[in-house]
Amino acid sequence: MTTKVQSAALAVLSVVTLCVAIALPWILNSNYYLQLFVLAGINIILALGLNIVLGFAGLLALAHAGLFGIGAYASALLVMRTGISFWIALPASAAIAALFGALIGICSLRLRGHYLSIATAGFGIIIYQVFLNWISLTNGAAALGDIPPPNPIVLPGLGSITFETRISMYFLILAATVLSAVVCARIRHSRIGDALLSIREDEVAAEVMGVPVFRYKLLAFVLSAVFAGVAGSLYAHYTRIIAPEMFHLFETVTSLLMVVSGGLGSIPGVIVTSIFFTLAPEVMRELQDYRMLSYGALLVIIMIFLPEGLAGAVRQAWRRVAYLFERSKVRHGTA
Amino acid sequence: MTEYLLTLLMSGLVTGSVYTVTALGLTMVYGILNLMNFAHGETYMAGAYFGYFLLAIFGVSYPIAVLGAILGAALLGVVLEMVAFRPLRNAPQLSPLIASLGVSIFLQNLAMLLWSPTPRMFQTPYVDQIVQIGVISMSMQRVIVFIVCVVLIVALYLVVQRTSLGKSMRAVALDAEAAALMGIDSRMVILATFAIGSALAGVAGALVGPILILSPFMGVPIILKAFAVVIMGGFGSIQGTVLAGFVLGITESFGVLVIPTAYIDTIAFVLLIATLLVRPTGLFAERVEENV
Amino acid sequence: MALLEVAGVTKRFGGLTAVSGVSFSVNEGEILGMIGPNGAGKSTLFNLISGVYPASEGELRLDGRRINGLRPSALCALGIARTFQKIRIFKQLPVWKNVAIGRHCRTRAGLVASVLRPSWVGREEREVREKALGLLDFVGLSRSAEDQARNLSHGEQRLLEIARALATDPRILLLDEPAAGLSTMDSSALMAMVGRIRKQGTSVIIIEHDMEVVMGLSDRLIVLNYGQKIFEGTPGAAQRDAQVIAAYLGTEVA
Repeated sequence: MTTKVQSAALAVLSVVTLCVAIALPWILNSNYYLQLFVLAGINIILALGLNIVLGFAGLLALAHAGLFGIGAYASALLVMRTGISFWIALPASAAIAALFGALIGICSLRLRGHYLSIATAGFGIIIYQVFLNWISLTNGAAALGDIPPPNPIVLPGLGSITFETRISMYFLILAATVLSAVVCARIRHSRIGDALLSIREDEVAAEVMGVPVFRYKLLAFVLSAVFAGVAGSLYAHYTRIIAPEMFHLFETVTSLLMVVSGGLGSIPGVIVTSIFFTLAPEVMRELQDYRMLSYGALLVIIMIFLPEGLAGAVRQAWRRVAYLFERSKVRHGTA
Repeated sequence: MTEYLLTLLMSGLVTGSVYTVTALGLTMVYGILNLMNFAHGETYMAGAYFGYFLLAIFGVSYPIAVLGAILGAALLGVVLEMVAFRPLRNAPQLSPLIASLGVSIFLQNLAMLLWSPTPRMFQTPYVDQIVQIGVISMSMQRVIVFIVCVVLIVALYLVVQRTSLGKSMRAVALDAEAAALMGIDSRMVILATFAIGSALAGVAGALVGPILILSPFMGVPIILKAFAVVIMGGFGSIQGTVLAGFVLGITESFGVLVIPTAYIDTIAFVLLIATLLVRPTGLFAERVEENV
Repeated sequence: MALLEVAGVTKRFGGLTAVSGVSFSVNEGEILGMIGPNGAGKSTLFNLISGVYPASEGELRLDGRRINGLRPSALCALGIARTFQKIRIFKQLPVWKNVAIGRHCRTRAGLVASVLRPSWVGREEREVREKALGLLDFVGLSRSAEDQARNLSHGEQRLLEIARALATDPRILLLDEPAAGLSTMDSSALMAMVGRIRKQGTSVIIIEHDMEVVMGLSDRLIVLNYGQKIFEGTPGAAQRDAQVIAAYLGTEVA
């Protein structure tokens, strides 16, 4: 019974959130804050991707920022060097990121637990080094600038939608974020999601009960890379300038913090904390210097005191409320 | 030409000895807690800074500075174990790993705030002192690094194999519960392991600091290389770790002949991945099958 | 023809030989009991049959087809299902989801179908849930269907493992000490349940220390000692076999 109430509450909450998100540009009425929400959307997509591999399948893969970077550079370079449309470069860069995700998976999935994390961190570092040092391709530390915004969409007879303004970019990224969340939720509640969760719980039992573990882990790597690739492409064409620093291991840690504090595997939790950790450092400007310092400390604190993150805290609060509710019903003789 | 190659070999041996010492500290902690500690790199960084401050600010002699770095790093390790890792002893496997990544990021940024991101030169009297060994010449500092590291490797091997502390460590690593039944205080053994492992990282930092440039982020490349060495060497094998450490040092050193210097740091991972593709359990470990 | 044939199978771990040249076969609809002292190699044999370990020597055949080297998931799809001696349920998932995961190899919604959800996917999911609830009813856990699996008692977790294994539509079911931790009453219920499973045409191999259970259920019995098969025959004959008594029953029954 409570699960039904819970999912109804979640549905209502999602609709309300979506309405607020659509009205947001007019509510905020500030380009500065709108830009933060655009970045929040990109961070959500990125964190949702990490959530598939870490939250669902239980694998701490640390090449995420590298894959994000591959999506960003691939998209920017495809558009700038070959002149193809952003709308082709976006799926193409997701596919390229997926390819690298698969490659990293094939090499590192022979390892378990901590070893796997280290091998993927290594790949992340290698990717970063390549961004930094392959100057003829990426322009190195000098950053790759002048990335064009997404090509206008021409609606026959109705004019066209351009993406020169913040507000149109906001809606593009909102659409991508909503789509990502829906895809993620559908995967989570499907046969595939169950298979991934069973691997997280006990991979020997999962394999014996008919779940081809290697294939699903690889799938998790690839899916997570697709999300990172899409986020990267959107990011490149939104900020129009990218540099290796943005795809450092630190960015993986930021995504990791978003997933862990939201609650491993929880899609609403990850969305909430992604928004929070995008806005917080900007709102508390004076604390900017302490951002990574506090992120590091927070990771430890959450692991010790709140291992199930925001979602776990909400679940616990909910249980307490339900318990009190039941008790008061008994007391008033309505049960 | 031979001279050049010999110089490369020597410099490979020096770096290899540093990798080995750092990796041994890492593998000790892994053996006992099954934790790959990302913050080990920051302990190394802290060791280098401790040594630097003792020498540059307090004006003590270099050997005393190194000793101070050892103590400081051991203390840091003990504090980290008590604050961050002990509360997670019974948590799921990934929790301490994520926490150690958090500690690592925390310490890097703490160092940046305390000591500024500006790179520093750690000057010792031995850096500019050149010694002639046969046809090759190298700085006294490098000779010291190599000798101290080799001594430490041998000492560690003896401690683990011969002393009662070493026996307790091996017992706890094999089966913590059984060790507790035998009257071994596993908390103390774990603390001692953290202290020794961290001391090894600290001494490595204080030794190579003068050859490199100090920065709050100097722990990142070394930790990843130490990880690679530990995995290549095979779980828990001291001999394997030593061999893998020197192989990596020498390969990197000769790598300058074939690849651009910017990519030298990636050699560790190329070697690691190659090893994994051929032998997923490392070069030396026996194939272990999970008990079902 | 026998359903499962184990032909001269050996398993070595480093220098230790856990199973040594064991041969036997299981017919369709048969219950085969497997007994032996601790460390005799019974669970290792299960691990070999279910593909968790590769055999060092010998051949495993299902329907006459060689199955050595297949992944456990592939063997599961071919109809080999098992439970574990040391319980391995998916603790943080609801009880019914544990069983639903057993349906994985019998369902087909892939990535695209899971995301686009054409109507057949919903139908498939409903069928899985109904089947899972039916199996929970069969093992007597339907009241706990929505609970988290970790909240079940030890005995209930063993029953959940049986339901999960049955969800894969096995042709042969390997039960590793299913009565461990059950009361006498529960173990007679378990015996009745295994009898019903066999009636549906599923073969069963059962490792069990509870002599009453294993003697009462088995059509045939094999006895292992130090990794070798020392006896094969009816339960009655086993109780009279001198070697078996010396190795095992002697200490248990007397």
